[in-house]
Amino acid sequence: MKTLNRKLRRDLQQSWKMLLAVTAVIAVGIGSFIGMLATAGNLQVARSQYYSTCRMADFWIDLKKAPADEVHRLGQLPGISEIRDRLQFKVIVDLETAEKPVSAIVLSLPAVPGTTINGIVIKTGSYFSQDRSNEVIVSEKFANAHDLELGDRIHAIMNEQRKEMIICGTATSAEFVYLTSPGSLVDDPENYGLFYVKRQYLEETFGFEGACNSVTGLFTPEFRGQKNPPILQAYADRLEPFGVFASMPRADQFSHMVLDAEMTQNRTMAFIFPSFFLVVASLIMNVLMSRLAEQQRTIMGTLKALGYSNRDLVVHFLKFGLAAGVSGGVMGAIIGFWMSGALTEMYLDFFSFPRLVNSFYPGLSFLGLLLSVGACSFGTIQGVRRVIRLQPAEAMRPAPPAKGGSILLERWPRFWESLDIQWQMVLRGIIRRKRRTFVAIFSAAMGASIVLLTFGFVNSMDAMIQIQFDKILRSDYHLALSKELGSEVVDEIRRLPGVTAVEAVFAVPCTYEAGHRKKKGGILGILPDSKLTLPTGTDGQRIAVPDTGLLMAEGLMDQLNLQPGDPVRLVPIKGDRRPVTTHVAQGFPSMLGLDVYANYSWLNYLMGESGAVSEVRVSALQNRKQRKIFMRALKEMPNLEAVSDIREQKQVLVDHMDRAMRGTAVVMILFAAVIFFGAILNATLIAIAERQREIATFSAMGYFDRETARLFFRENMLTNVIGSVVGLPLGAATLNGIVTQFQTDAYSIPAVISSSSYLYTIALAVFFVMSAQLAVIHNMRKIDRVEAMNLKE
Amino acid sequence: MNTPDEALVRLTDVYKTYLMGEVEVPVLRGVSMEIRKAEFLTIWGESGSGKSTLMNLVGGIDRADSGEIVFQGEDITNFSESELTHYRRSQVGFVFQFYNLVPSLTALENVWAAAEIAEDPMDPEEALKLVGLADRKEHFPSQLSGGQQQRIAIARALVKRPALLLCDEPTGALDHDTSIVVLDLLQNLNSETETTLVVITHNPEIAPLADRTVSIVDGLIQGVNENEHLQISEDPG
Ligand SMILES: Nc1ncnc2c1ncn2[C@@H]1O[C@H](COP(=O)(O)OP(=O)(O)OP(=O)(O)O)[C@@H](O)[C@H]1O
Ligand SMILES: [Mg+2]
Repeated sequence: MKTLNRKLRRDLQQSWKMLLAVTAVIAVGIGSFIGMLATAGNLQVARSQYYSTCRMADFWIDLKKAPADEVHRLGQLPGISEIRDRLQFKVIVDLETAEKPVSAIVLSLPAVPGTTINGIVIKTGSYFSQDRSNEVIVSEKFANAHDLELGDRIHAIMNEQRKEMIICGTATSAEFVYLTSPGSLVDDPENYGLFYVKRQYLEETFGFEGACNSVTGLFTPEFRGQKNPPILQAYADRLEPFGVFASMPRADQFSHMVLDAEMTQNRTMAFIFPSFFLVVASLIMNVLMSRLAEQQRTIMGTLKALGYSNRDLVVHFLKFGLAAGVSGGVMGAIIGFWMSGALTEMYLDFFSFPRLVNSFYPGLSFLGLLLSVGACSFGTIQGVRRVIRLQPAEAMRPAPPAKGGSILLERWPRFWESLDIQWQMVLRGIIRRKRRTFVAIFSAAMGASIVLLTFGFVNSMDAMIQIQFDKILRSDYHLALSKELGSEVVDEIRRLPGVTAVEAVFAVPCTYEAGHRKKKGGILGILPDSKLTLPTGTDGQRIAVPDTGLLMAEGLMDQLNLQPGDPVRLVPIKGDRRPVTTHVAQGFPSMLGLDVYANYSWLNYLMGESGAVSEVRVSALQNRKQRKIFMRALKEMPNLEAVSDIREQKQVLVDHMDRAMRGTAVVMILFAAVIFFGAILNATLIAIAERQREIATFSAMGYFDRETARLFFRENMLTNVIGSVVGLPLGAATLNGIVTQFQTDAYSIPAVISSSSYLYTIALAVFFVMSAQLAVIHNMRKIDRVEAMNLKE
Repeated sequence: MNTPDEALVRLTDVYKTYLMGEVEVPVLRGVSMEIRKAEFLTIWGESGSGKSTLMNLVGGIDRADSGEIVFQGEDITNFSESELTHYRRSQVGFVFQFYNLVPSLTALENVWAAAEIAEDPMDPEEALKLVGLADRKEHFPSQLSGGQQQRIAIARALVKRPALLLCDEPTGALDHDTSIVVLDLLQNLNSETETTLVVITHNPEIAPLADRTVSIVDGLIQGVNENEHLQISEDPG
């Protein structure tokens, strides 16, 4: 076979450009496959390292107040290996550097460092000293965002008292890799502080001596793998007398869940997105190899007559596939490593990890190589099998002429005769070479769908932000109260400077129960004539809140298997937690996942309250001075739990999306360009090689190269524009699918594509064809006219 | 010149029909004949009479519809695809009208391509020497004349020491003088190596050079002539 390998090498030298086109397409596909899986791998590695460093808990139980001894005693259950009780409170922090009151969580830690569950990683400074009781360790990003230094004093309203604490260190914790401030949709560690203080200090401040309100723990190894072991429910039931607000296994822990979702997304996309490229590469390879086999059919027949078997020849051609596949795989591994580096870098912006690094995964690269070789080999075998199956005598006879004769369009003379000769040639060529035309259209469709998908994703994010912040939330500030107050609080806030409108909201966090299904959530009771909170569907349609019953997100209704009119049981998480039964009045397509609205007064009535306020929504028109006074007043409000600046949250989200999307979008469009260029160049190089004589003849007739090149240009333009148009619905459908993938309980993104995105997609496709034309002309110049004219086929 | 009567190949009632779209074209309509060991046989007939088809069936590069083609006691029409490949590899050498050299391989490499897979090949350089082109071994086919290319093709057929050398109009694309060189070469090979030689031609002048001539008309054997043996170089005809 050595001699055939020489032939292979020489043939490769002849057709390397076309193979390069395939290689580029496949490299991009394999690159994104490896890139996304490696990114998920990097996150996974970083997370498990972090979890073991911090001894991340397997479960959490939040309760009102329980004696620490009882918590431990009741936790003596088979399946629970270790329990830690602690204290946690939401507080408002008054920072000199921050105008507005900042929300934070204070968490207790033992006075001396040890191997505690949900421990911390000290970044600067040190753990608590024995000198002072009021030392605090601050979350690293929060400290950085507010220029907090070791030794600084910070003030917080704790248990309605203003307390001073001294910073002794900064730290991160595996519990809060992803942290969103109340009402925010994205990681926002700058606006949400984590304050770790000594247990005793918190006990004294909040009157929790010997008690706790948070229990975390570890399962024994046999339960650790389970998503929601029944042992957790058993434990929570035992703690029930102490008022259990929530119990959750690690799988439901917010930070963990977000990380999981992110890894799952990457892993899912790693199989969807690259398959576009692999299919296109395989098809291009098919065209390329079937042409090569067709061109060499006499040689193949002769070799078979000499005694080479079909297998020998398939293996021979497979080596072309192997060459393209291996170079595609190697390039893919390089691109993949770069891509996972870039994506991992991006995640550093989203997640707080002490160590998140990009690693090279040899196994993954090998898998990529296999896929690459597989796709190329598949294309090759499909391309050459017809010729190789021929009896040698048949193969040595010249190929029967391509189905000639007139094409259907020619039977429409009024149209046909109005075309110039070049257009007629283009149309005949396109219609006769069906397989190639199909591949050209298919590739363009794939390319265009990726472009549209990219634009559509940006549109959808914009739409989500717009619906959330311009349609639903018309207010400027949300003031969450630490306990329900009367309507005086609304009047009090209305009197603050610059406030234009104030509305009371009654929020009821609860567990929904329908049949055997349960789901935690919260009902937002809003005024029927509310101007600041306008429930709106993903379609942008406003929805009126019914007088009685719940207006429930359809996603939640699905999860609870509810229809409008169905009864549903509510178990409030706070207060006396007396269950009530009510009904679902109406469903709506909600963007923010699982939200539920109700009439303010009706919800008050339902919960046995009247005029209770748990949150105040404010719209304001303030100059700087007014805002200052407004914020100072808020800092002194005793029952405030959190202040959300809605406009700032919008800006944070927009910035976040910008940072995350811009690079990704550029890369996606570059990748789509590779498909377009790969397919166009390959098709045209083949056509040029096949039609050398035609080109030389045109040239001899006095045509300029660029005039002859117009033949290819028209052909490419026609197939690519048709393909792109076909790709539009494909891209839209893919966007729909991906958006569903991205859906979490926290939010769902509406699939929105603006009409300009469709236009830009087609315009880009046209631009790609025009750019590829430069390369086409360049390659035409290299044809040897004289030789081409005398070419004997 | 020894011409033993023993048959190397015996064809019995061989039929072959091609399909041209919907139309059946009967090409061989019951051919029975034999090819004797070590003889020089020419097959003569007009264009389209079925000569190439006959040769393709004998050489195992096409399949008969019915009938028997027995090569040294084995009916090759019953051969599987791989048996047929093996048969071609070990027993048959082909020379085609248009040489069919692999353009991206040099003269020597073209010969190697055949030698590599043969059971007991001769040295490819030796084969090139036999056709008088040892000095052109590094040339690519495009750098050789038609006659030279055909001689390379003959070397390629010879290198595996085939029992049966099948030549389909080996001089069809060559001018008169070059044709003589090629035919001379073939004739010498036949007499010196005892390779059975079958040459197809529709040129009646070549026929008398062979031991026997089979003429074929419309897919049927019309006659077999035993010839007075002639030397080409003495009487090019
Ligand atoms: N693959 C095929 N499909 C259809 N018809 C075929 C095929 N191969 C050969 N034929 C027909 O079979 C007949 C005999 O062909 P063949 O090539 O055997 O003739 P030939 O005697 O070698 O002619 P020539 O001297 O021109 O080479 C011809 O009419 C030819 O058109
Ligand atoms: Mg013939």
